[in-house]
Amino acid sequence: MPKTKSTLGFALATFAAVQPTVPSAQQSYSYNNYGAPGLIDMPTAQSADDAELSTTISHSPAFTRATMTFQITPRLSGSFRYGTIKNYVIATGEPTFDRSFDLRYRIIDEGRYRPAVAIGLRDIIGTGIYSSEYLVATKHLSPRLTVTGGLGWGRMATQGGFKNPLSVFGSGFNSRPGGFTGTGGQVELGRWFRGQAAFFGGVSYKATDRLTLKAEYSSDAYLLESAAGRNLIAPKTPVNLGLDYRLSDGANLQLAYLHGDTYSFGLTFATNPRKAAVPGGKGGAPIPVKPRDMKSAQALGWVTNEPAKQQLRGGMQTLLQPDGIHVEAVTLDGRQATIFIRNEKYIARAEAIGRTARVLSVATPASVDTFRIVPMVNGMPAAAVVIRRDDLARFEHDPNGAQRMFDAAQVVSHRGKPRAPDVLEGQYPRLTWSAGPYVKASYFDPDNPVRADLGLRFAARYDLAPGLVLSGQVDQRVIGNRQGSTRFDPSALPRVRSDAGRYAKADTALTKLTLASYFRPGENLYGRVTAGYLEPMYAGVSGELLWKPVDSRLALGVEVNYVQQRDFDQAFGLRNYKVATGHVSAYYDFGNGFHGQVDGGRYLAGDWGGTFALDREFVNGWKVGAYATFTNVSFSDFGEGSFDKGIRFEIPLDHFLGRPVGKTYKATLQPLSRDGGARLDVDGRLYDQIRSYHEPELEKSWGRFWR
Amino acid sequence: MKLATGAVLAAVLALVAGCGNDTGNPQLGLDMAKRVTAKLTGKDKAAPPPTADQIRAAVTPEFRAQNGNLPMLLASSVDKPIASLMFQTGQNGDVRTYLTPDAISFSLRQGVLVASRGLGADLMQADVTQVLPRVLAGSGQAQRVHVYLDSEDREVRHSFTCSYARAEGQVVETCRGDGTGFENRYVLRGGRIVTSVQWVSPLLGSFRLEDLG
Repeated sequence: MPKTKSTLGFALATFAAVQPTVPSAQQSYSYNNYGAPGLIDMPTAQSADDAELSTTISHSPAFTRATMTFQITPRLSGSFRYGTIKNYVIATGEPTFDRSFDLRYRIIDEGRYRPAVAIGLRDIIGTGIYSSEYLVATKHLSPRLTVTGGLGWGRMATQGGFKNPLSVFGSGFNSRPGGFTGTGGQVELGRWFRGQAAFFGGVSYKATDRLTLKAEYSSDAYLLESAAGRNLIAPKTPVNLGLDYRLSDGANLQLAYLHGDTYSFGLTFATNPRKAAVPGGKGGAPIPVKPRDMKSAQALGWVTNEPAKQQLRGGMQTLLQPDGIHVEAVTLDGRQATIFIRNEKYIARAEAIGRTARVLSVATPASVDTFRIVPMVNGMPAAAVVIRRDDLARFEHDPNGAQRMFDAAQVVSHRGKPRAPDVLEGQYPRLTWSAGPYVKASYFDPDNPVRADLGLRFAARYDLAPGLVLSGQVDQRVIGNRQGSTRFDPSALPRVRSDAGRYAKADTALTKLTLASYFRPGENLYGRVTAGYLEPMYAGVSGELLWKPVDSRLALGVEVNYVQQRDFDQAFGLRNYKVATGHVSAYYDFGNGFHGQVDGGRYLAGDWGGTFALDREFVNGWKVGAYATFTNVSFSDFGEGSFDKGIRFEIPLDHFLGRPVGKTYKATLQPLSRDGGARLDVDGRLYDQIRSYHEPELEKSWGRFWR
Repeated sequence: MKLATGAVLAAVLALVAGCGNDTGNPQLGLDMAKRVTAKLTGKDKAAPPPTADQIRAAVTPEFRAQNGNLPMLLASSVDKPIASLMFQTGQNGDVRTYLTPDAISFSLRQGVLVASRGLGADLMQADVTQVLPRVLAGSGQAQRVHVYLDSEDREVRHSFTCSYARAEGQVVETCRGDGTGFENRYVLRGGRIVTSVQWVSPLLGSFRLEDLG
């Protein structure tokens, strides 16, 4: 960049005011009280846009529910719901808190004359308060008017029920078992599509771009809620009337009059990983490629003297700093320049590679033919991208430049650490620190479903040498109610996680203090050893070995830990419980946006078993997934929920800001956190860090090479 | 989960606020605070953006010398009241890349726009091989291809069929394709494009580009 911050300040006004505005697509569906595309209480056969992630909060005197719904594929969607019903325990007037899962699948797409048809299961596991199944068809009569008709079972057959048509397949379909199996949390297959059936239906009319009016005939009679003693609703008619109003893009308000008796209202917030605030991002322009002067390439020869090399290294660092890329080392030998970079900014790894390559075209002597870019992860070389210098100039403005550059570049394994004289000053040792606010939340405590703390977090990291890291973190609570939990869940297992409430009482907590070593023990192998206070609840030693060839969809890993439980005050003291825990893991990228992981081994409570996880991943950093763990702890010993399961998210901040900052918010939502199937939470696990610089991951973001 | 959403927001806030020497920390909190303060104190209204005419007048020989006599381009949005001076910072074959001080760039192949960067929804690449001879001739038809990125960083290609005509001393390029269309205008001097109005993308609209030499 030339020196342009000159006397003419005002004339150098910027284009920063240019905000591309993404036009909002007109959607033809709206959400219902169960947080799914539908009418008021009833569903429609419509699917949300692929990958839409929505949260609906709905409330009426008969219920309060929060539902998170994800359109897993264009046809399949899933919901997780947490709700409460007042006066549920008639004897005491106590409320009930209930978790439920739904699945929906659109079997048939809407055609010119044919309606869309979907099949759905509400509340498939757990206690089954909302347990119901349905088959539903929806047809647009005009772009604004839709009609829906369906057949419901279970709770959706409590109004106008008749003999189950499925009973032609056997009389077993005539009766529906009640209750739930064991300690709940299991799939109640034996109940599906059994008992009576009933019709439901309705219409929705999109009166304006913002307002949709709805009317439905509901087959849900609210038997539980209207029961004597609960008296939350007194249905007078099966007809519900309602409206949906779009407040802004991604925010909708619903209002309804239920059963001629009471009201309900809802708020839906939706976001979509496939719709970025700014496609391609608003990050700054890169430095353009500088084609080399072939005459000087031959005349000048190689740079051999050390001071000149030092100057070149400094130059590269200066040019890459504004791009958020740190230069750790540069090796100039003859016709090849090898640069070791640390990228903390670009989730699209290809963009970091592309920017580095362009800077090399500017900053290396004309004699250099090949650029070898080595991304470093915790001081470990993750791979090398080898680029012929002249290809950069050739493909920079090629209409098919990204693909041609990818075909011409090589992603290869690279094990060697930089030589000491090639390392830039100030890289090792290196101290980074930060201080800022934090939020910790705990969910699903019936006394207070959401508890949260706000505080200050001090974190520091000292890179002593490449791959040797000392890091620590102290949290100081400022305000919050997490320490107020008095809940004590008895457990048949060692209390490895169920004392979370006692750990939450510490005002000042040393949440982490570790020394970690990262290393490359062999070809395609990555290693980590971490020792110290690994996490808020455990201290000890953790070792990990990962096998990941640079072009493989499959990776295998082993992790072995020996840990001791920490004191509740999270100072330096330890409790008596010790355990050896660890897993063998297989990771596989299915290549269609889905990623699977299987872990088998010993968990914190000493239980043996396996964890299965499936995530939908997006190139821009979004991940939405689910996991379940089954161990040799019996469902009854596990307690409420029967086995450990949860939903997890990774949300990149870049998506909302529209420019690269490289920060991702990670969260796991466990409906029930208990002692069975619990794992250690150690920092610096290798797989995700390493694979982002490997194929096929690198290729997915290659469109950003020239960004 | 109502509060869960709040917690997510707060956690995002936690990610963006704070301080330290960790350059990975976006520190948007500070940025946001500054903007809010500017708004409250009315400082954000203080300096209206300079117009293209003001900028053109300010480009004196002294100013050029201060900036190393780099070739310049004066760019202004057709739809919004914004204009900026751009300096040539790269040349690759017949493509010249011009950069603003706040890291926005346009790349022109013999005066025809082939790329933008830093605006968001940028034109990543363009195939204008057929366009150049038609602009010089001021007649005929040509195909052009624009490459953009979608929200998942995949390339999206748009093809346009364009026709060329002369009007009021300009060459007018009218393009249609993929359900959209645009009109570019070129002013030529000595067989070279010196001033033009060129379309970048559906989200960014058109820019007026003036070669100041």
